[in-house]
Amino acid sequence: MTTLLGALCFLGLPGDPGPAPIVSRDYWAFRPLAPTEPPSVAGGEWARTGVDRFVLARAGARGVAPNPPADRRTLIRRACFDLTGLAPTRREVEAFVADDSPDAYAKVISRLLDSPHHGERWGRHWLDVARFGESHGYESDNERPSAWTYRDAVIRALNEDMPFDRFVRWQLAGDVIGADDPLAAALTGFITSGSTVTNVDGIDKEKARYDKMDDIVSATGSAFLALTIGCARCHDHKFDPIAQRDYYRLVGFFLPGGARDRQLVIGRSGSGVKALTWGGGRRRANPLLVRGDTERKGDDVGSGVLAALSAADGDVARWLESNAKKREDKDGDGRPGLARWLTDVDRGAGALVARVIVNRLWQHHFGVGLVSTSSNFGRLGARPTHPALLDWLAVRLIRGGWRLKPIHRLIMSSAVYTQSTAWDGERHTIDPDNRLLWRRRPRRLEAEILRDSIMNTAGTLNRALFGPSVKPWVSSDAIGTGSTKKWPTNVKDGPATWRRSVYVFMRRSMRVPFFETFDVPDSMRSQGRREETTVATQALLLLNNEFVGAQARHFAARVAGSAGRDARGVVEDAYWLALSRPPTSREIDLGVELLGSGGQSIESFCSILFTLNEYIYVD
Amino acid sequence: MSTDGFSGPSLQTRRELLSRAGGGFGSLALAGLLSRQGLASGSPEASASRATGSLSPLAARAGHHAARAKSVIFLFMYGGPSHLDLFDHKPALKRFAGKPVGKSVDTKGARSGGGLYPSPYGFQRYGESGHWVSDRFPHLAGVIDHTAMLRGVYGNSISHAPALFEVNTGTIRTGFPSLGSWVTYGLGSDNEDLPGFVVLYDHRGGPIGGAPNWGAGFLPGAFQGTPARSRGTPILNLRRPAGLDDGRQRRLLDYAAKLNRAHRDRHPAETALEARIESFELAYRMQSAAPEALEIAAESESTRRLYGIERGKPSEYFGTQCLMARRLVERGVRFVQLYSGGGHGDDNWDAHGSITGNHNKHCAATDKPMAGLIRDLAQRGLLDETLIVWGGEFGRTPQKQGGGGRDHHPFGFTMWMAGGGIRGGASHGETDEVGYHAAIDRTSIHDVHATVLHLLGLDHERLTFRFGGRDFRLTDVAGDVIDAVVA
Repeated sequence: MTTLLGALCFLGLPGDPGPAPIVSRDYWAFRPLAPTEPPSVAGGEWARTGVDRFVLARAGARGVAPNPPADRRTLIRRACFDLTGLAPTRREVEAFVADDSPDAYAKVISRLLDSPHHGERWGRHWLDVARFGESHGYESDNERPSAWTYRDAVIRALNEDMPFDRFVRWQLAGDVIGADDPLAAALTGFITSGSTVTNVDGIDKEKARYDKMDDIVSATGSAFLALTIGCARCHDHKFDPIAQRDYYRLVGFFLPGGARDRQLVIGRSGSGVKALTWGGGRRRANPLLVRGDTERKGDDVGSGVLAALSAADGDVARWLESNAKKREDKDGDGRPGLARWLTDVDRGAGALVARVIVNRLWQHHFGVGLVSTSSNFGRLGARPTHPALLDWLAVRLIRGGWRLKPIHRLIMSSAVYTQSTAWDGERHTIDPDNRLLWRRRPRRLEAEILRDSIMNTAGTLNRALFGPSVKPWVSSDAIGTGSTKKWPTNVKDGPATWRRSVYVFMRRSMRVPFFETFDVPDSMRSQGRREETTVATQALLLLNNEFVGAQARHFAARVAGSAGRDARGVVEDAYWLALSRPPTSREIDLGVELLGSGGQSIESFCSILFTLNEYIYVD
Repeated sequence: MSTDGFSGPSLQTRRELLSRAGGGFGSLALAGLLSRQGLASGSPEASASRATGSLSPLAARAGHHAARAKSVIFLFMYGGPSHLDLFDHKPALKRFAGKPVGKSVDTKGARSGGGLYPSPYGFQRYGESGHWVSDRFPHLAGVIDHTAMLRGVYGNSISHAPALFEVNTGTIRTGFPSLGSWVTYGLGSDNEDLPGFVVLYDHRGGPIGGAPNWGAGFLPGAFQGTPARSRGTPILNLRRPAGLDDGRQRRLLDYAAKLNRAHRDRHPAETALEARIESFELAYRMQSAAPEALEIAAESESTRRLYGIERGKPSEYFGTQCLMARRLVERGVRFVQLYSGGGHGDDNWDAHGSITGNHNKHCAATDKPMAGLIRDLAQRGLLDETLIVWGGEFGRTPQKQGGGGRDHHPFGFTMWMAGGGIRGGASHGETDEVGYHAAIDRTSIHDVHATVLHLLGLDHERLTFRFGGRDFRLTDVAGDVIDAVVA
């Protein structure tokens, strides 16, 4: 019934000797974390942090010296986009450039990490991984009007720097183990975030139920463990040590439960909302499905975790007992045990979970993770380019109480992060893909951040935090036939919808065209990394779309200032707002020339700045 | 550097190229690689017309040998159409109905354990070719002599996403250039005012895996497929803002291009920056070319009926796609890929629950449009130069799944080709008695790709791109042109 079935699984080639050995702990991702210290390296004056010494050790061995630091204007723009997704203001740039205190940069990082917009930026990254959508998907694609409570809980958790192990546990069992905290139950929205087949009955209903289980187990595997567990639905995993039995034992945690309405307290405010979250149930029989067939139910396999990542046979009793005296229902579905196993560094999957999350942080800071396949650490995924660095970061995360913000700070303080994008033919010849990290590569803004930036440049961005999602104006051409009921046609394009894109309603069957055009996934599956396509339809959107045009008018009004403003001043202000820097004298000449030529308006000058490569690629 | 020693296009000196491309990227790499592969670069006229004066990635260029077809329309049946219920007639399934697959068949770990399931559809031979076609395709049966059947194709993945990647890119992994990208890389396009590679996906959604199915992988970004929207207006934002005339927009774009080129020169290794500059030039030209190309209303009533475009008919939607495809190739677009089936479950050809419940619907949606496309191209004299390829990511099991469905099946299935360079009525490959394995003249996806390239004038062993120190091919180290279907 489902096209998601084992979406990433591979079948052995004809003539294949057969499946790989099932249990193999001696695999890099499954090993205990190596307690290494950063190597001492020659040329170490470049290095600022331990991160750099790992990088330098590899690059130096190949005779490739990394770049010197970027200039301060570049650096603050880079840091702002990375941590909050919003460009720095002219005042912020100038203050940073003028600040000659030794901790000038550290202060910037602290300010950005403390910003409420940090959670919005990084929350969006996590929502991809959590395959977060606000409708069921499939044909009917009914809306889920309270799904935003999960999105808000993610943003709040990141802003509070909730320890990541707790963040993991609450997403799987917050309703049971964190009942005192308003965020705990809201975070179980992770379980319900995926698509759901509706409008089925009879035999299809049972299939739909197992499709839902598959969605949950697959997303859990991808998001936390970077393993394609879903591949074991019908057969033992062909490449990774995941048996079909492991798969169904994981299903056992979710089979008794279901989406339940629950009164949630919003943040710390005390006000409430009725939201659909996960509710557990009593332990029940859990048959293994022979070849994934709902009509061929095998033995009851109970519930349990991946044997290859456990000291024992994947029994969760140990992890359940650790907290059994509390209110947790011992006869419940066992999710607290699963949650604890995931984050147990010594006897469970904690080491892998730590590796996976520090790698995700690295990926979003550099564009590519130390493991480039950030959601597949299995045998078909990539190997880490810097394994010792990966482990060192994971150890730092755990020792620091699983808090992410210190890891952001650690990575961003490094010389490898702060280096310039300067290119060099000789080093390029040795390492064209920059796997040695000898230069910074420009990063393209994702769809949401591009839309946010356009409004931010225009001065129209409504920075309100949290709450129900908004449905911005969409051209009626795009809504078209067949989806008229899926998006309102009478929306006014105005401040109420000029919210940050993380608050835009994520309807699975009707992505906002701006997002669809710029590679936002359809949230049917957990996705660790976005595609970055470059096609003419994106250019058309930036040139001709009414929303972008309206923003250019606001941008123009902002820089036009009082009547009689000279063209030079216009160009200068527009550059600061769009690119966080003053124009060069040649750029001033070009801009002034354009503004003075045949009826060009400030508005069209402003609109063309939105299209620049420098606007969408951050150095 | 991989591009050293090439002889570049005549328009620019090598030094100019190096200084603007910083030592081997973008247009430079393209020009160098094309000439290295023995592909002629664009005609001077075509290149000279370009605003930037550089070699346009879409400039038409000759292949390695004389082409039999100029363009491709790939009809992709997403979800896995059942070979056993459409083209691969297996009377033995009736004889063995309900029996398990015999021990003689190695089931390669496929999961459906049900008994063998005869097709619920009737089969007949049609035309002079005598191709077997199921009764679900009455219109296609009428033009079946144009087709060459490949009944012994096999793939390497039982799951949708990798199987889609294999049919589209030659490998089950993600991130490799698609067939359409290789073709536009090799040949450019005959219409530089439209994308060289257009994807029209189903109104119910894109195929699983999304953009990598038409991605350019490591090829320059200008060769990736441009998806047209599946609902409402196919390409949005084609109209300039009110009050902005062509001249003013052109000056704005020239201004941006000047700044973008300076920016690119600071980042010579970032090929996406070059692709993005090109994308604005193409967008500019598309504003005038695309609305006309996609205007179905310009077609006569009888043409539209030929494609099954009638309000409320199941073929209305796919018929529109097919007609759009004809208009695009007519205007010189090199490669058009259409998807039948999208989204999830029975919204595509993934007939797990019921063959009749699923395939009745999708056959009715595609039969008349496919036949109409072949007839229309033929009467316009375009069929000789347009290669049509039909297929899905795999076939379906001979065994029954659930109440009357079939499971995924990559071990033997059917594709067909028609048009440019194809010997209509030909047949190549067979599955075994129950349609499980490709048994005779087994045909890999590499073979299919090699054949498509061959008909377009490209040698699959010489069409290469150097990446990460290795010359990559669409067909890796395999692939044989299927001579039996070449006219």
